[in-house]
Amino acid sequence: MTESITTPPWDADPFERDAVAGMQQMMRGMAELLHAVPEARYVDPSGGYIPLR
Amino acid sequence: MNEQPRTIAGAQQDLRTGRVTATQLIEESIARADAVDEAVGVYIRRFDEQALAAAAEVDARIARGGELRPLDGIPIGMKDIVSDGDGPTTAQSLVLDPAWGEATGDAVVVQRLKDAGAIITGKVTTMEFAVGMPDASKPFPVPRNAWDTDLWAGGSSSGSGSGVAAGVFLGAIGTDTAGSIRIPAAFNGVTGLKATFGRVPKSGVVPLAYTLDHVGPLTRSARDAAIMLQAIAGSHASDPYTLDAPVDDYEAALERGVAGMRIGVDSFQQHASAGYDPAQPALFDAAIRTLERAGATIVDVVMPRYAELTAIDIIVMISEAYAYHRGDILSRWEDYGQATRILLAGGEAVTGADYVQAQRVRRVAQREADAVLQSVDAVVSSTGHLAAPRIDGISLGDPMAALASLHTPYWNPLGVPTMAVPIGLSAGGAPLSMSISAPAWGEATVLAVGDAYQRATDFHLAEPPLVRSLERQPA
Repeated sequence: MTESITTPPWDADPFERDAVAGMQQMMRGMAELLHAVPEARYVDPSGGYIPLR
Repeated sequence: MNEQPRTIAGAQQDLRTGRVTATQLIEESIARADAVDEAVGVYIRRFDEQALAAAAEVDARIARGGELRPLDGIPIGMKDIVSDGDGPTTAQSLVLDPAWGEATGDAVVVQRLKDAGAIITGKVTTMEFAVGMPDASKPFPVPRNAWDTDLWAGGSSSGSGSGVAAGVFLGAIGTDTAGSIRIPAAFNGVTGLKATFGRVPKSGVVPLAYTLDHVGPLTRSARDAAIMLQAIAGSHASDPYTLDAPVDDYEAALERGVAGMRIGVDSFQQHASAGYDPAQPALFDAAIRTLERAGATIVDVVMPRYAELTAIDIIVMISEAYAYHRGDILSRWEDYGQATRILLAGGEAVTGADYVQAQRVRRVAQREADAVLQSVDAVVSSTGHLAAPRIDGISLGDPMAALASLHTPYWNPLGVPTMAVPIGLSAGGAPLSMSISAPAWGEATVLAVGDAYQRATDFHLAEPPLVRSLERQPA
């Protein structure tokens, strides 16, 4: 069964809830920057996994 | 006792000539740790007895006229996310299952160093799981800077950097995902090499980010880094990310120097978002002039996609790390350090599409950066524009702030070799650093540039005040 988050543990403390919210907002901002790169539209991903030997 | 050698190359020479014994090297390492470790926080666990026993074996073999292996008798610190069969691995965390280290035994890099004769003197401090921040609420040492114990040692290979700077060992192993070899090297005034992705096997190392992690040496000098890289480089069946690229003779490559080389320069000053130390621009410029006097042709370059590559490194690192930690983060939140868990929880916001897009832009950026790197022999940039921050200024609730004006994340998604070398002291007396990069598999070039710079300068040999005060004390 897939584990789901109903109440994340960081919600228990207001300071940490706000800190995580800030971190996640930063991550979303960075992701939007990358989604706005038109040259990547038809490019294959780098990194990733090497076929098993 | 004769004055102890301060580099691996020096120790190799002294062992060969009989000026020093392996036992003396290890005894000095132990004595130095006794003197400074409480203040600096280098070790999580020391292997004093095993190290002395290994040193005795080396001395016995020398006495029988046996051949010396490349790293025989050399004391080496091991970052405590790298598994070593001689002791437990903690990743500086309450969360890592000890059974993992017990089952893993020696990581490939540890086995290769031991095969070369290196003596692992202990497991050294790291940021928790290579990503947290110093946290005095957890039962692990707070890593402090060897130059000023009010300052942070940097991370995540904290003890690896401070231990080399403080003379506790002659070399150390670290790992680098967003700068974790180069930042502690920069902050502690030592040399730190992140080689090409896939150059050194990562098997037996707790992962932070599968497609960004690199294993590599921290040492006093580029020459010492070449010696250590020689021992650990090469593909291994246990690590599918390693490639069968030929391993160069790195020490021989140092003789090339920089005469006739084209060296591109991008200071990254326009990206120093938190400002720069007043001493940094002049020190960086002086370093470039040193390379020019050594025979290099200097050209200005602009490394592309700075914002994108920094974002790629953070997105990919945090989401790959979150994949590894998600179960424990949700069930053992309080066992993680506060900074670690806040950082990792950021991964919950990254979607699958975000991750794939990051890896697509990564390929675009790799091609564009490679075009610049291939137009020259090497590129020199600033490792960071500020010296180490104060430990009491680090906010566990805003862990990214401690990395302000550091340019190390730029290089990890490119996977190219990058080495940090010290260039002098900040206005406040703490080390500053430049980085030398080359196209993929260009470790020999990077090392040659670093060595040429260090033949003409002596910042890499400077001793922190803490060590100078020990040497002034009567025996």
